[in-house]
Amino acid sequence: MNTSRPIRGLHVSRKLYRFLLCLMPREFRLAHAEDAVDLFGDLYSAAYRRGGRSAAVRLWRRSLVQVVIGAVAERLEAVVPRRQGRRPSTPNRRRRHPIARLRKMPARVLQDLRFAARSFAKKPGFSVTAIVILALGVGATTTIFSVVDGILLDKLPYPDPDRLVYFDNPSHTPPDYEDWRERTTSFITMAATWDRDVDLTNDGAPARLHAGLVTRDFFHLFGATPLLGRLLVRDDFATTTQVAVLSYGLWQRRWGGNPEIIGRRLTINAEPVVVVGVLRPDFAPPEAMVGRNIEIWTPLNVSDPEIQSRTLFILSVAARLHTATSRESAQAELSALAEVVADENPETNRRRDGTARPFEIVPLFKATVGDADKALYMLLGAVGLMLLIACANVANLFLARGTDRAREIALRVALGAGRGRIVAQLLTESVALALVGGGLGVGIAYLAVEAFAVYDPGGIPRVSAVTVNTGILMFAFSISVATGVLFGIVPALQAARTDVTEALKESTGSVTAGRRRFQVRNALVVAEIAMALVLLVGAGLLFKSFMRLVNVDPGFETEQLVTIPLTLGPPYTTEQRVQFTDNLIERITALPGTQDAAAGWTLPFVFHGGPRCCWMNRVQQTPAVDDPPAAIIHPVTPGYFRVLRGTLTRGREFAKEDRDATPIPTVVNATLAKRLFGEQEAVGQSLLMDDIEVTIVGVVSDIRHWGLNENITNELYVPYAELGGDSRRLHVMLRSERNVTDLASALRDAVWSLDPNLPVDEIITMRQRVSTSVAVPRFYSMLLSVFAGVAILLAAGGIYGSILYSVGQRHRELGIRLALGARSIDVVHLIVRHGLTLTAMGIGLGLAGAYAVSRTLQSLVFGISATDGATFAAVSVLLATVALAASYVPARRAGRTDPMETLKAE
Amino acid sequence: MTDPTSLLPLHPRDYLILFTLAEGERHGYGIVKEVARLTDGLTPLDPANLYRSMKRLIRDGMVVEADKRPAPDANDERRRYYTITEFGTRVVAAEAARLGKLTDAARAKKLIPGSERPA
Repeated sequence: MNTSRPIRGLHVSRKLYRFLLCLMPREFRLAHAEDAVDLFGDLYSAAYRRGGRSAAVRLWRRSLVQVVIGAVAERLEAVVPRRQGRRPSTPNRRRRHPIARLRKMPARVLQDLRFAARSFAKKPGFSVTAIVILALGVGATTTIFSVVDGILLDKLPYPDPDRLVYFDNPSHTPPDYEDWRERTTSFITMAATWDRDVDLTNDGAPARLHAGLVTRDFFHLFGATPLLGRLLVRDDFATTTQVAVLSYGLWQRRWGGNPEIIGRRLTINAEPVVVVGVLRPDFAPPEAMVGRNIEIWTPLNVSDPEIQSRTLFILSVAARLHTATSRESAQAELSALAEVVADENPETNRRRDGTARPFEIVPLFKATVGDADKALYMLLGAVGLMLLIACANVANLFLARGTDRAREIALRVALGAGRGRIVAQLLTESVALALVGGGLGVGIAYLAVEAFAVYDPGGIPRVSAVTVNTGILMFAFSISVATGVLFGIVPALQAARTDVTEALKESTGSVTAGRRRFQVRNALVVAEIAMALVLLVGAGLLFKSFMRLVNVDPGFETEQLVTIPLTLGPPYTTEQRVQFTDNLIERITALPGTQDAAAGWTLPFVFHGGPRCCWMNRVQQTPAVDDPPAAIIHPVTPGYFRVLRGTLTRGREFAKEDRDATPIPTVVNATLAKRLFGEQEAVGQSLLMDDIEVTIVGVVSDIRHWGLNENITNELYVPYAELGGDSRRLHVMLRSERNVTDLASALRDAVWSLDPNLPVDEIITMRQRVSTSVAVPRFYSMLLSVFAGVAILLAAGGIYGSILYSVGQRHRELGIRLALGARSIDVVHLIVRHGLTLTAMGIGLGLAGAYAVSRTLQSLVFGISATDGATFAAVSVLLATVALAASYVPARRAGRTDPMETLKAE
Repeated sequence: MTDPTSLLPLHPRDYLILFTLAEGERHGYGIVKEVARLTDGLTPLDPANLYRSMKRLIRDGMVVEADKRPAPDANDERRRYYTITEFGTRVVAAEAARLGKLTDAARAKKLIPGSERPA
C-alpha cells in the first residue's frame, strides 16, 4: 500500500464528518460514530486515490445528504417507534418516553428562551455586564486554545506525519548522512537540508535571500507539490546547470506572481541559476530543519567532494520510518551503526570518553515544537482559571438576581410549576446568556488570533498553523454551554429550593436575608480571590523573571549601535574581502555622526539562542595538556571591542599593525582565560588552534554573544585580516548618534559605492536585536499579565458586587443599628470587616494553590525561584489592597444610611 | 428465539449487509466494497446508512460486533469487525427464499427475458 502519497484533506474531512455526525442521536453516536468516521476516512482515501479531488467531492456530497436523512430518520424513530413488531424483547428500551411529552420539548425550550429574552431585556445592565464578562472569558480561552490546538494538537501538515523522524542535534556531517541513507533499512525516505543565505543580484535590486539547499527526496518526504513548473528531479543534482524552485511568497513579492517566471535566469551568488518551479502557498517548510521563511530552494548534492568531512556539521536531516518499523527499532539500528562508524573513523566519530558520537532520532513533531508545550499549557491553564473566575462572577450576579426573583419563582411553584421545570427555565436563561457571551467571545478570538499572527514574537514554532477553525468553534460552543451550566446551576438549584410560603410572605426588605444564599455568595467570592491570586503569582513570577532577564549585563553597550549583515560571496577572494572590509569601515567612519566602526564574522545577538553558526575548535596550550577545551573563534577587525565598549581587563585589543604579526595575536574572553590559566596571567601565553600558533595579547570581559539567558562559552578572537577573509560571512557595526532610519540609506550607499551588486538588508540596531532575543519570554509574561489583570478586575468586581448586595440586604439592620446609636464609622468597619474576612480566606487558599502549581513554572522563569517569597508577598498585598478598596466603597455608602429613611420605609 | 420470518421483508440494505457477512466476518470498509461489487455500484453504502442498518441488525440480534483489530487495507489502523449470528443466517436465508419465490414468479410470468429456468 502506498503510504507516502498524500491524501489531501483526509484529516480535515474526518474531522468534519465527525462534526456532522453530531446531528445523529447520542445513542447512535456513542455506538457507531467512531467506526463511521474511520469508514468515512477509508472511503475518502479510496475515492481520492481513484478519482482525485472530484471523486472526494462526490463522496462528500452523497455522505452529507445521507447523514442528514439518517439523522432525521433516527430521531423520528426515537420519538415514534416505527414498527412495534421489530422492537426486540431484549433490554434497550430506555427511550420509551411518552410521545406527547417529547413532542412538547421544543415548544417548551422556545417558551423558556422567550421568557429569558424578556427577563434579560428588563434588566439590561445586568445582562450586558454578564455578557461582557463571559465574552472576555470565552474569548481569551478560545484564543489560547486555538494557539494550543494549532501548535500542539494539530498534526504536522505532511503525509503520514507520525512516521516522520528528525535526526537529533541541530546539524550533521555529509558522510554521516550518507551512512544513514545507505547503511540502514529502517527508513523509506530520508532528506537533508542546509539553509543559508544567498545573494540574488540580477532582475531587480540585489537581495539577500533565505535559501534552502535540499536533497532529492526532500519535497517527496514532505508531500510538497508545485504550483507552477516542477520541483527538483534527479537530473538537477547531477548536471552543472543550477536550478531553483521559488517559494510562493518570493514569487509574489519580487515578480508579482508573473507566470513567465519558469525558465528565467537568475544570478545567485554570482552563478547562473534557472527557475524551474514555484511551490504552492500552503507548503509549510519543516521548521525543525529549515527556517520558516525559506524563499528559494536549490539542490544539495551531499556527495560533493568539497563537503566530505566528518567534522563539517551543516546538514539537518529528517526521514520517514518504514511502515513496519518502530522508532525504537530504528534507533537501535542507528545506535549499532554509530558504533561501526566510530570504529571506522575513530578520529571524528569517537569521543574523548570512548563513546561513539550518537546517532539519534526523535519524532519530527517533538523536534518542531520543542519545549513550547510547557509555556502554552501554562497559558491554557491560566486562561482556564480566568474563565472560572468569570463564571464565579456571573454566578454571583445570577444569585443576586435570583434573590430578587424569589417571589416570582415562588409564585410559579405555588401555581404548580415543578422544581425540575424551574431549574430548566433558569438553566435555559444562563445557557442562553452564555451563548451570547460566547458568540462575542468567538469574535474576540478571531481578532486575537489575527493579532497573534501579526505580532508573532518569533521563536514560537508553527505560528502559521494557528487558526480559528471548525474544531475551535465547537470548542467555544462547548465551553460556552458548560460555562452557562456551571454558573447557572448553583443559582438555579438555590431558586428551586425556595420555600414558597416563606418567600411569598416575606416582604422585599426583611431584616436578615436568607443565610444559605449569603454563604454561597461568600464562597464564590473566596474562590474568585483565591484563583485570582494564583494567576497573579504566575504573572508576578514571569514578570520578575523577565525583568531579571533584560537587566542581565550583556558585556557591551547596546545603545546607538547599528549592525549591517553582509555576505561576500564567491567572486571575492580572501584578500579582496579584507580589502573590502577595510574600505567599508573607512567610508562608514567618514559618515557624519559616526563615532566609530568595526566588523567581525559575527556580532553579539546575531545568532541568538546558542552557538550554531561558527568556527569552533579545540585550543591547545603549549605545552599541550590533556583534554583541551573547545572554543568559539571570532575573526574581528581592530576596534571591535572599542566599538562594542567591551571591557578589556588585561592587555590590549588588535591594532592595524598586528596584520602580519607572527605568532598571530589573540584576545580571549574571561571564561576561557580562567579555564586555561586559572588565576595566572594569560597575556603573553601561547596557544595552538589546530596547527595555528597564537599569542594572547588581551583578555576581555565575557560578552554574551548568544542571548541574555544563554551560557557563556569559551571564546577567542583573532584578527579578521589574517584568519577571517576565507569566509563569506561579515557583519559591520558602527556607533552613531543618528537615527537608524536616517542612517540606513547612507550606509547602503556606502556599501554600494564599493560593490553595487552587494545586497544589504535589515540594517537594525543592536537594541532591536537584543529585544528580539527576549521576545518570547516577553510575550508570555505580557499575556499572563493581561490575564492576571482581568482576573484582578473580575475579583474586585466580585467583592464589590457582593458587598454592595449584602449592604442592600442589610439595609434595615444597618438603619436600626444607626438609629440605636451606632456611629457611621462603626457601620463602615462592620462592612469592611466582612470584605476583608473573605479576602483573607481567599488569599490563604490562593497562596496554597499558587505554591502547589508554581513548580510547573520553574522551567519558565529565569534567575528566580518559582516559589519566590517576595513575589508571593507582593501580589498578596496588591490583591488585599484592591479588595479593601472594593469593599470600602459600598461600606461608605452604608455608613451614610439615613436611619429615618430606613425605618420610615417599613 | 424469535421466528426469522417475523422480520421479513428485510430492508434491501440490511439484506445486502447480512449477505456479505454470511461469507465471513468483515469490517465496515470490507462490507462497503463487497456490496458495491455485488450490486455493480448501484446501491452505494455510506457510513451513515451502513451504521444505521448495523444498529438495527445488532439490536435485533442478527449481527454481533467483534473487537477492533488491524485491517489489512487501512494502513495498520484498527477497525471493528462484524460477524453474522446464527439467527442472522436464518433470517438472511428466509429472506433469500422469499426473494427466490418472487423471482421464480417473475420468471413464470416471463418477466425476465432469455433466462428460462431449468426447473
